[in-house]
Amino acid sequence: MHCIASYTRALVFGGAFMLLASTVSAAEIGKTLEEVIALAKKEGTVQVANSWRGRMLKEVAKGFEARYGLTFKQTYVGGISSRERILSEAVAGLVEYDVVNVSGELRPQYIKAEVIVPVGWGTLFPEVNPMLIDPKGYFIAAGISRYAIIYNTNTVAAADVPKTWEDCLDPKWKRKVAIYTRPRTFTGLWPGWGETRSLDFHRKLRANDPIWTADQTGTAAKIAQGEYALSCGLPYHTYLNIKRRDKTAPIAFAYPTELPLQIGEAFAIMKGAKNPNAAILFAGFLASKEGQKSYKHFGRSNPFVEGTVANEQVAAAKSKLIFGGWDFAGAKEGAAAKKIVEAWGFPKGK
Amino acid sequence: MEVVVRELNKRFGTSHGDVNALNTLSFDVKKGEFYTLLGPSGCGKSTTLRCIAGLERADGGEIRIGDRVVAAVNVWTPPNERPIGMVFQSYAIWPHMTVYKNVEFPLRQRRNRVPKKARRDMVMEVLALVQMEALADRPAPFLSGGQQQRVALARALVSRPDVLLLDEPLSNLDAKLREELRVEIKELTRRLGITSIYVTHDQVEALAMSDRIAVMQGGRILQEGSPKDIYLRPETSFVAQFVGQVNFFSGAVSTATQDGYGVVETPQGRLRCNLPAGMAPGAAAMVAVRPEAMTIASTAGLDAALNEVEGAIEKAIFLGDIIDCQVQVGTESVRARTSAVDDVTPGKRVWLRFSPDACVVLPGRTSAEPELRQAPR
Amino acid sequence: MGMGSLTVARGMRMSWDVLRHHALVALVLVTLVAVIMIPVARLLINSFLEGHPAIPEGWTLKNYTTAFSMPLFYEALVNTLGLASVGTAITVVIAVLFAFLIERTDMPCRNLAWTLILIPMAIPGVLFALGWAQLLSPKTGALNVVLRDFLALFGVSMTEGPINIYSIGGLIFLDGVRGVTTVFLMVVGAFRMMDPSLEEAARVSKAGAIATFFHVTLPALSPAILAAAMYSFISSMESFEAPLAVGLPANIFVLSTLIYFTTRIQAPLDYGLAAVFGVSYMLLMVFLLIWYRRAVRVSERFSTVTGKGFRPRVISIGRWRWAALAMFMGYFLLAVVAPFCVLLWTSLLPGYRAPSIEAMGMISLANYVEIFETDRVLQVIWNTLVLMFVSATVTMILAFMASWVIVRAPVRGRGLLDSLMFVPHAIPGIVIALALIMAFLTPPLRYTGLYGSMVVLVLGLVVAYISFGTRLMNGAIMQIQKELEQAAYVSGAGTAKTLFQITLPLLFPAFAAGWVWVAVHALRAFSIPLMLSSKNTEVFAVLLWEFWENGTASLASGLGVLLILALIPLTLLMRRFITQMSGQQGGA
Repeated sequence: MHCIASYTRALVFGGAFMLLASTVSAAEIGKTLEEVIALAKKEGTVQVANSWRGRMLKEVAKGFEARYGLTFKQTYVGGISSRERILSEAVAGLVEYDVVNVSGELRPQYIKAEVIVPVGWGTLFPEVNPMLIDPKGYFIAAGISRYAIIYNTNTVAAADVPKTWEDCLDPKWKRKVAIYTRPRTFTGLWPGWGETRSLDFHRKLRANDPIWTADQTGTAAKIAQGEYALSCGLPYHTYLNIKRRDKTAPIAFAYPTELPLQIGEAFAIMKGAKNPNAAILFAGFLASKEGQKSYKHFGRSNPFVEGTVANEQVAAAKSKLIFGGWDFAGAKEGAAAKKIVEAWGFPKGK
Repeated sequence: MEVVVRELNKRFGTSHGDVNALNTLSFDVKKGEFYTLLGPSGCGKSTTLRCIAGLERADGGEIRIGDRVVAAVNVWTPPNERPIGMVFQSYAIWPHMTVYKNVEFPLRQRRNRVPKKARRDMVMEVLALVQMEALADRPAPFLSGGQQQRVALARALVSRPDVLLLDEPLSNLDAKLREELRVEIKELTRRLGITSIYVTHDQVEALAMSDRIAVMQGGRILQEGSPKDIYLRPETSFVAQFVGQVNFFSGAVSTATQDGYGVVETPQGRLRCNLPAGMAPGAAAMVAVRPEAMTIASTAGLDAALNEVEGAIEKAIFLGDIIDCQVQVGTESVRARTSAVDDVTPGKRVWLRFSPDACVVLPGRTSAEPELRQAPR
Repeated sequence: MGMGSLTVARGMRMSWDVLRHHALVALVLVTLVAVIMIPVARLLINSFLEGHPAIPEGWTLKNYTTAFSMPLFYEALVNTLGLASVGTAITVVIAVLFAFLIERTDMPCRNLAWTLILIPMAIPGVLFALGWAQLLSPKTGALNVVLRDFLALFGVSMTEGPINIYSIGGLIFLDGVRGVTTVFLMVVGAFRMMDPSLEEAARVSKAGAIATFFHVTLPALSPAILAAAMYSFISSMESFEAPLAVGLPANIFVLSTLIYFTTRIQAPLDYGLAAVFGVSYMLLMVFLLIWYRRAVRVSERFSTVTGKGFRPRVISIGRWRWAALAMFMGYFLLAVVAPFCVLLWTSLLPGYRAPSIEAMGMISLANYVEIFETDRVLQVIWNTLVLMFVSATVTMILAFMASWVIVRAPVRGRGLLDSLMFVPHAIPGIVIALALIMAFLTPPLRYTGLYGSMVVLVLGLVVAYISFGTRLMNGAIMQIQKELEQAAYVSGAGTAKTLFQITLPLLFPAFAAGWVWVAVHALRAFSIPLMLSSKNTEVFAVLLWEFWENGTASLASGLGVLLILALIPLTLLMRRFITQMSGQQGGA
């Protein structure tokens, strides 16, 4: 009798304690920057999932620590499959990362699955350009990808390089232009061009017999080695990757008069993250002027922010920037991609 | 340990329709007896043996080993739990083991578990029984056929099973070896007093080794008895011609006398025979006479007590100890034999003599029975 | 006495008793079937779902209607069937020929050849395609450069070619050469275990070596060969690395490229549509299987391994020995040496350059330094080795047990089991991985806490490779005479004991071949480990992916070179082990 009584008591207390503890451990997110910083100092090392390597990591680590005295641990996740996995894990309640770079296709899924939390980015980081902040509050864009014409300097004279996208349709480039079959460049142009101009362009592009490729980095490599003459529409960072590794590679880039941009890296805070406040500081830091400077190593600096490499390049090229922004990325981009791919003569799926 | 088989049934579905492999088969094997299932291929003898072993399962019936029912409608003991040893036609010696390891294997199984020290003694003992102890460490693939058979035997016996099953173990060996091993196996089983069930299509083996033979055909036992009974007193024409050679004279019973003898009228002559009870005059009959019961004479005989038919020598084959003759008697070809030194040139007119006691009268052939001519040897 | 002869439903009685007396085998099989059904079920479900599988939007038939009403579907299908047929034919002919030459003839350096033939499968598909693209790209391919220089000596000058890998010929070549090792391993066990008396009977009847080969050896081994051909065919149909890298620039459209376009290009990824294609592959597999079982039914009846002792007879082929060796070396050159050299070349440069004096000046070991400076390298190596050994052992043991039931057990429904074992081969690796992720993230398996551990990774590979294992073991078990097992039963051994003390040792050559295959594939596996690896279980694929994305292929090439070099002593070791174990059976 006595045993049972004491057992029950222990159970009840234990249960209550655990309940209490669990509510305490559901991390609180600060409302103001000061609160966030204060809470962040009590948290552990931020767990980051994205695809940086090398110098980018080192510089950001230095800067982040200098600004907030905090550290982060990055896990390299490249490719759709890893991000899918993170999504599936989060849906099941297993949250290993605090802040994740979510690629375009998956952003709607992450929102729908409710595995990320909206944050008052604008309130916390007023100096960040509002265009970088997702209107729904989930994402903050730190990296912007810009798409250029990459060409082999041995085979293509600088004077011959297309100055506009329409120049790529010139018959002299028949069977010489490599086109990556995921039309990120062209969905980037779509908001500026509209459907009619876009589809007309793509039908003509198809008629000009391009070389279709399935691999971004590989295409750039083939241009560098001289197999392809040029590519109309590769992200700048592929050029950077090659040039960084192989300084004498005969490869160069050129910005046409219209320069498409896409959100290159957008961070979101995971629901149930163990260190959400530190994570917020991390993402915010990257969107800030200082953090943005580091993006030159990643090839995705923001052309809208003064002082960045992208900004300088674009100014020198005098290109008009076309940016679809948050509204376009996601479902609209998907629809545009389908139409483009269909105009190219490929099956478009559902 | 005795073995009792009751009403075994088994059907096989083949692409040509169902086949009755076993048809309400029943027999008993007494303790220590050497019992042979003899029959042509497809008669079901191997199937029966495998049902007893537990390698196959009958559709109905019951099998009992000793006082334990090992197979019945709701009972099934798997082979590894039955107190048996078995020798296969292909010996089934495991090529990745030595002779010793092959024979030792049964002793390492739960059913017969024996501690290591005792194992060695038992294995060497049984190897000695089959005269293979010198080759104990030889890897199995390096054995000749006869040696493998001995090892198979040793392996089957090592765990002192209650019943030994042998599935045509000698059919892959050459004639001399077969003869040798026939004697050895019989001796061994007799000495150990082990109940043995032997399956073969070779009637010489069956006759030489068995205490009792069961002649099978079409999933049934046609006749069961001692070798002498089977040989000298076959009850059907099939048994008569399957076990040993036989000549058939078809005819009808003409008279029956009081002393059990009667006369059967055949196209080859009037034959005086021992009539079985129940054969009345007028009944169709077949007289079976074994070739060795006939003597070949160059002149007609005068002894009225003996049966005699006249014919001409068709073929004479010298077999070493005897001459096997085919004699044309009327329309029939009759087999007979004679001593090697006799003069038997083809074409010679001869008289075949045999005693009435050498005749076995079987019910006459009806149209329903299949033709049972002598199968070419 | 006198029990009536009751005929009870035989099938039912049989199954229940089999289960009761073969408890271990039954338990293992049930688990295996459950594990396989996870991705199969997921595939079927996904094909009827709208939206992301983790957050589905409802049931639909649109996936099916879209897939089959697609204009290019049938064209791509025809292309794929054609390519797969030709590629498989080439692969099977080469593999069977080599299996015969290596196991049954007196071709010189046979042992070496057996080892060498394992190496091509170590090269990840993406690197193999890359290597050949670097060799035979029309403008800058290394081999083309050399050939052009050579032809220039004869006054023939070209700016491109002469060989263009971006062509249907290129695709056929890649497909044909690629799969030889797998087919070889599937048939070599059967060749080795074959009873030589079958051939001897033919030779005694005055048949020459070639006639014997075609009229006796091949038919006797046809179950194994057919199974291997079928497996290779499906692999060809599913392969996407080559068609994407080499076919797309040449405008050659096959099923896998179609799938790529319809499911992976746009946002969001279309799992539903991809699942339909996966289901179609599975159906194709089932059809092939039905045909295969019919074709093999007759030959299923013969066993060629008996207890009568077998020492595979070596056939002398006289002066053809050297031609045979030359042929083998030619194959090895194409399958390993050429791509290895170009990968090595690339790995020593910051980026691929056509061979030239200037390029030679840029050679350095910088890439290798970078590889080894990556902090996770040692952990990755260790994890990968563990994964290799565990996956290989688990897969082959399970395959062995499953195959045994399929071939031997008198249970109805083993044909279904056979089909079930083969079906996973049709499921894309990504689907297997995703299915397992979801299975282990949700109750009840969630509570095992195994998610993210090596166990799930091993399971993923088991599902992927069980098909190969069972094909191999099926053919091998069929060769072993039943009486060898029956002798064990009557000697008192239960099923499990017989399986592992009698059957398995007799099968050892085939088992070992399978083990090696699975181990090497586990080593170079890509999509499954990539998705199932967690932070603690990073394996080779993860590293390769990272280098690929960031290294302009020169880093990845370096990794490929290291992999191939690492595999050589490994295969030598395995080969030595296999020979030793086989020697114990008395058959060298």
